[in-house]
Amino acid sequence: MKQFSTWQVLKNGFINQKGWKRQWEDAAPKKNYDIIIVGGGLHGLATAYYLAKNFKLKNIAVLEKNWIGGGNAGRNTTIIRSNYMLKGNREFYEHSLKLWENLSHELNYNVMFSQRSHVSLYHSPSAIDNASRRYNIMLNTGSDAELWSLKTLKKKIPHLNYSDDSRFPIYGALVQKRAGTARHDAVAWGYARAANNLGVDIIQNCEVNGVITKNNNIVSLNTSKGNIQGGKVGFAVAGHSSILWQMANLGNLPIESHKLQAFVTEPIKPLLDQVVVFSVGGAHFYISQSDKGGLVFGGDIDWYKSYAQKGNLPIVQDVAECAISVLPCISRLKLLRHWSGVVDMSMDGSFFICKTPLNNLYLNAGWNYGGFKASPASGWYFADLIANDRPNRVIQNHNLKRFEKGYQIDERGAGPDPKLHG
Amino acid sequence: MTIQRVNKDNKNAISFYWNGKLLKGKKGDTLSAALLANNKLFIARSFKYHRPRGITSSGVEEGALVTLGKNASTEPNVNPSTTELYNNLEAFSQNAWPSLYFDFGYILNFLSKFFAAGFYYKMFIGIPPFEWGKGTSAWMFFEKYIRKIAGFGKASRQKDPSDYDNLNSFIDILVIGSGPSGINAALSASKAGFDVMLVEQDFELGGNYLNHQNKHKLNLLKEQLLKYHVKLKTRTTAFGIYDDKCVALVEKFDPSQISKNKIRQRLHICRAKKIILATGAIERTYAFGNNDLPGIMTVNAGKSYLNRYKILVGKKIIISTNNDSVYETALELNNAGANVVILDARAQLSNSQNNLIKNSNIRLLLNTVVHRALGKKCVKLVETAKEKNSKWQKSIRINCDCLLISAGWSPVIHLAAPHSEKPVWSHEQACFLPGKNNQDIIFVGSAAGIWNTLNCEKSGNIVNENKLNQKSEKNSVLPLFQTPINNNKSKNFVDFQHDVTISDIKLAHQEGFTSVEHLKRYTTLGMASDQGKNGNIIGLAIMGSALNKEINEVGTSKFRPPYTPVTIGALASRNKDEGFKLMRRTPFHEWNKTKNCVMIETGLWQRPWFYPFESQKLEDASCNEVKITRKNVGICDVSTLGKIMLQGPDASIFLDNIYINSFSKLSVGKARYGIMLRDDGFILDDGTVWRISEDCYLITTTTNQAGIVMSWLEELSQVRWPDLQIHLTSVTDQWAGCAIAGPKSRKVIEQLAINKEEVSDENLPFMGVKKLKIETIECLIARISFSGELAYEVYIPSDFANSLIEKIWEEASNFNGCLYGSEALGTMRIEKGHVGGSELDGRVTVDDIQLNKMISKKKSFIGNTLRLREGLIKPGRPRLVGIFPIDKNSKFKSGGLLYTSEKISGYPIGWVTSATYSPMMGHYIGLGFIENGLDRSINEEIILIDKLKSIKIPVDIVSPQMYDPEGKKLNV
Amino acid sequence: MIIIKCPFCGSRGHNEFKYGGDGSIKYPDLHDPITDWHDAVFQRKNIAGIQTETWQHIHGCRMWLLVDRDTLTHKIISVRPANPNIINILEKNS
Repeated sequence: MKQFSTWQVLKNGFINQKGWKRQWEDAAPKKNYDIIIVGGGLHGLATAYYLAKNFKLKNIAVLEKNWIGGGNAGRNTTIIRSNYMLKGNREFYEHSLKLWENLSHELNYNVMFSQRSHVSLYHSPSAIDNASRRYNIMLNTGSDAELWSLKTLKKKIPHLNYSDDSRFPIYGALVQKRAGTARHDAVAWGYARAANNLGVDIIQNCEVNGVITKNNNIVSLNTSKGNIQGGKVGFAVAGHSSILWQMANLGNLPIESHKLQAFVTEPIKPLLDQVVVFSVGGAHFYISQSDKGGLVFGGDIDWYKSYAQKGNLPIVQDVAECAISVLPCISRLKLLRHWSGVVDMSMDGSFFICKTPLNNLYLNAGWNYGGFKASPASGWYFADLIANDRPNRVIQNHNLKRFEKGYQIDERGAGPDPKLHG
Repeated sequence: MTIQRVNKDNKNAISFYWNGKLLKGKKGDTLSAALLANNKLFIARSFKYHRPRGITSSGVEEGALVTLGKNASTEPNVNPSTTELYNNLEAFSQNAWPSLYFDFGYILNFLSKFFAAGFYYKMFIGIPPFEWGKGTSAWMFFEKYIRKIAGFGKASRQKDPSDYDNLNSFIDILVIGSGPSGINAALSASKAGFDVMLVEQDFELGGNYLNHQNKHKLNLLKEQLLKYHVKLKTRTTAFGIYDDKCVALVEKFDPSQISKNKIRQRLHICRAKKIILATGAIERTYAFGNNDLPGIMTVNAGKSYLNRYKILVGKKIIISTNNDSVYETALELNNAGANVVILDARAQLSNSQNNLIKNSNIRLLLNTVVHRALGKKCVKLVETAKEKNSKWQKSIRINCDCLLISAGWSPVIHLAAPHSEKPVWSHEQACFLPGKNNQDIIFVGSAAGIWNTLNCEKSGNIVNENKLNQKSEKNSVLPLFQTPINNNKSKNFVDFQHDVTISDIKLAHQEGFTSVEHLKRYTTLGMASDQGKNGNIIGLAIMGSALNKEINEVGTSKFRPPYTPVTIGALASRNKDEGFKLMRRTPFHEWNKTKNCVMIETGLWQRPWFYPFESQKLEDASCNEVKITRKNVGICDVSTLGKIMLQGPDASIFLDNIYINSFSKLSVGKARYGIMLRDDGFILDDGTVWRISEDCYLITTTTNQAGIVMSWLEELSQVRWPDLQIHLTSVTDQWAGCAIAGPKSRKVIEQLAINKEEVSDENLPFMGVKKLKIETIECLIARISFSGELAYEVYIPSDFANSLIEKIWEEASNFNGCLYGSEALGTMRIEKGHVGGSELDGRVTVDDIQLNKMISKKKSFIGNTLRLREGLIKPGRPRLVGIFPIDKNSKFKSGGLLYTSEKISGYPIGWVTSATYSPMMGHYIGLGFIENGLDRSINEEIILIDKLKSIKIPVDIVSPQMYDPEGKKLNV
Repeated sequence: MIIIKCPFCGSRGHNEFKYGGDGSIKYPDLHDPITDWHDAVFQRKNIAGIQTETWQHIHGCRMWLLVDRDTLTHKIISVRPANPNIINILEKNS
């Protein structure tokens, strides 16, 4: 692997960029792998990387039906935070945030993690108090949190809507300063390059269309590039988990596929230095500015189940309404593009990294709409599960049995309705 | 470059400002036209390298952007070629400092060899040059500066002063685009009796007709459009087609009228039965050295500026082409007085093209393309390349002051993309043609790959010839995407707006980013304001040639809405400021306001929070309210509670199914508190149910859950238990509710009742319900209490709310009563240990709040099965308790965490859900949950920690019923 | 916008409706054991293709409807009242 550094960039400037190599090789599948990860998104690629790195495993393949990083990896709003409070989620997302903090160095790839603060606005004193439980738990379990009074908030972000005619006046904010944004594509490419460098085969345009099982084991996968045998198989195809699951004849999952839209404006000079979250009166909205200058924002899922990567107008309008309610100055800016991704919405809003009814199949699914920030830890714990064939203590309840036993992990308390966990 | 208006009269002159300088344009100009007429060709700096940029087009594919307006009216990143000129328009160049001509950022152009595609991924990781260190601090240091360099225009930080409107409409046939095919499509449909709307993004109808020298035909057609009542909308862009042919349009209002009318734009949502896309095609350029120099435009721009705006874009014009479409334009430019040279990449011309220019002094060079353009701030010289014996070689250099390019045309097929199969690459026509769609979207004219005007007009005849899917036609075009000679000395741009060059694409190829999605993301090709309208196909072609593949094998990048950027304000239209979300006011709202009430947002409701005397603060006011209520009497607006009327012979069965406790035995004239669970066994909501008659109950819900519960009950009755004979009606808005609480509440009501005895303890006992006439109005009254006092809830028909509350208040005042708001209500229910929304957070069971005694064992109910899952009944779950501070002077709030003194970090063993100063206790009290609840050892020291608010105090865990635990006050 | 043809109100945009969920679920009896309730409440077929689902015309007649819709394209195939007794009445009246 060609090391990336300022030195190399300067050097290549003088030799017409001739020194750069392919960042990862496009492998043709071998007949047999010790471990096959299905899904070349952030989670699949990260899993392959940590399997190779943490467990020194070789003979690993990642199968991607299109191009790596082309699903939700490239369709999210790139927010990274760890403001979760329930056991399991808390440690998991904190671990993820810690991995993020050093990820550029770890991968020798600038993923541009910018710890620019995640600012959740609140609109009544009691709303701040109620949300304080979450942020206090964060403070007491090794994370960071702050309460910003209205005065502080006005100083930090002077152009939010503090006016008298605002429908929901702002009272203050709860803040995680270590949270922020990153460059989503770079994460996929960085993991792919690092994994490939450790010997992982990255096989693109390789769609799994059949799962061959025998005696409660997966024997092989039928793919668009032929039959591939695997010692252990991991599914990491959030958005389409149910489809693979049913291909393996495993019945139903506690998951529905929904679509989530994202939006970006034209690039402008720096306007917003934090991630701002606005959630009141049935509205939900988050916004930040990319390094290139576009304001990146999003809101609720489209409410109805969908596998189509096309958004609908009512949410576009809702999100625009929120945008100018929070930042009235952006009303004259223009929406450049909006797109949507298909996400696994689970029955309690939390994910699955777990063993399955098949002995050598492992499941990584149910990321709702928070999968991006989870990527490093998702890969880390999924690799740990596959390599050791047992769940780590942190994710021991993130399994498929939790609903039957009543150990759901419901950060919102919204109950068993997937669309409410957006 | 010498640009001039062909007709130099002063008719319809308009003043405008460019970078602060007063200039003159003409009505009907675009900003680009007016700038060109003033010889302002160099108008912008590029995104990455800050290179001089000029006007490149006359339409949506424009490469140069400007800023319009000042201060709060600033609009950055505006396309000058689609901006209608108006009097006193102010426009500025952007992304240049200190000025357009002397831009400090131009230094980046000379360092550009280091800024190849993807360089950000390879450096700024740690301390240079070897990226030492850990964490994100190095990146965040560099990021500050990178962000400042990036971005294009500057946005205002002030509120947009303009308003936006919205409109919904229905139509038989929506025609998008008013060129030769669009106008004819609209006419043919309208003549056949359909209701037709024709929309045009330009401020003038006509599309490509406007670029013709002779406007006679257009004028005739316009007359016909009026005659056949086609609905016409100019300045209206269809920016997206959504499911079921729902078209989103944005209509800009005439900018010359905007000062009179605050409304700037209108979002128009049109549901069409059929959509005709007559969206035309966009002329492409190709990549060659310095192809971004000002003075280089599309041929169509040259034609448009000449014929529509009467501006000749140069004296010495070179046209470089690979197709037939330019010859008419060449002749027109020649006739207007320019010296024209045509470079055609093809080896020979058809007779018709030859004939066109035969008698002119246009010079034609075949087998020739531009290899490189030269000039500083404007093109001056062109280096050509010529094919000889199938090899391309450098050829002659030609002086010029303008270079017009036509490298083929790309049909505008964007709008149908989300509902269509992949676009089909036509090698013959060197363009993508629309893929099949299943949504009644019909392409006509050049959007369908039909090129000459006559055929386009014919293709518009959608009704008579029943041409559902137009066949595209042959076009004599030689694919041309880049200069055939490798050239590293100068930059060959593929995407002008994002400064993506051929070498960036080649580097992407070298590093393995070969699929279109990777290419786009790695190089940012097509991600700028024009969304790749210019560069995408060139980029794909260059990648294709590097991979030895056809363009379609490289892929097509998905076109996503909006077609052109849409103002966010227009999307939000009227739903902003106070109108952002609907505001619910109780029937007492206006009356409350006359009583100095301070309101608080509760969901969408405005609810009385407290009633201060003069400038009293929240806590003082609410403490006062509690004291007076508990001593005398208080009145509280409880209209926000959800109220559902349940009727029918099976009403009792229904209630037994949805509540944990039994209702079938409840007698008429009685109320009962009930709890309902979700399917998964957690608490959904609580409230009281009043039995009005044998078959009729009034269900009350909490304010927050009212809508959810109503819909849930309707689902149960219609979907799960369709055979139960019941009917549900939401009556929340029909009844205004007020609580009358306190030891003197009965006295107040006695004064209101026609007969005192009606409300005696005997006739209206605790949990009793009856109809009660106040004045002449029949109300509902129930003796129920949330405050713990002797209390009543009176429901008044909403229409009479304001008159009766005045009467009630008059009586209450006589007993030294008060009005109390949600804060005092909260304090009193916390004192009593009654759960509210902050306790019932969706993760709490009936056992957790210690009300399991209420559960009926004689029947089952929703949630009864799943509430018995292992995790929900396991010992040690946090249970509801009361919290007292040990030091009675200490304060605390909800959101604090509970720990034993042995372990005061990590996960807490409990937390505070509600807290208040209790005027009755004389100190702060709270409700919360703690593992094992009251069964904890009393010897333990419990610490309440709220780090956010710097609180750390020892507390006692007490019974949640903190005030009057025996409930004596209910029956005073 | 998805256009849903409400049997009571006519064709309306989907933003007038509330999405319920999988309409093919048969909920067990209130007395049935945990496994039956678990499967009904938590497990989903999550069909990629045509599925039966519930919608409520919440800003209209408030009726719950069963809708057959393709989750890959959003195309609606059929709409009927969720309450079969009402279907019978509608059929009788038509």
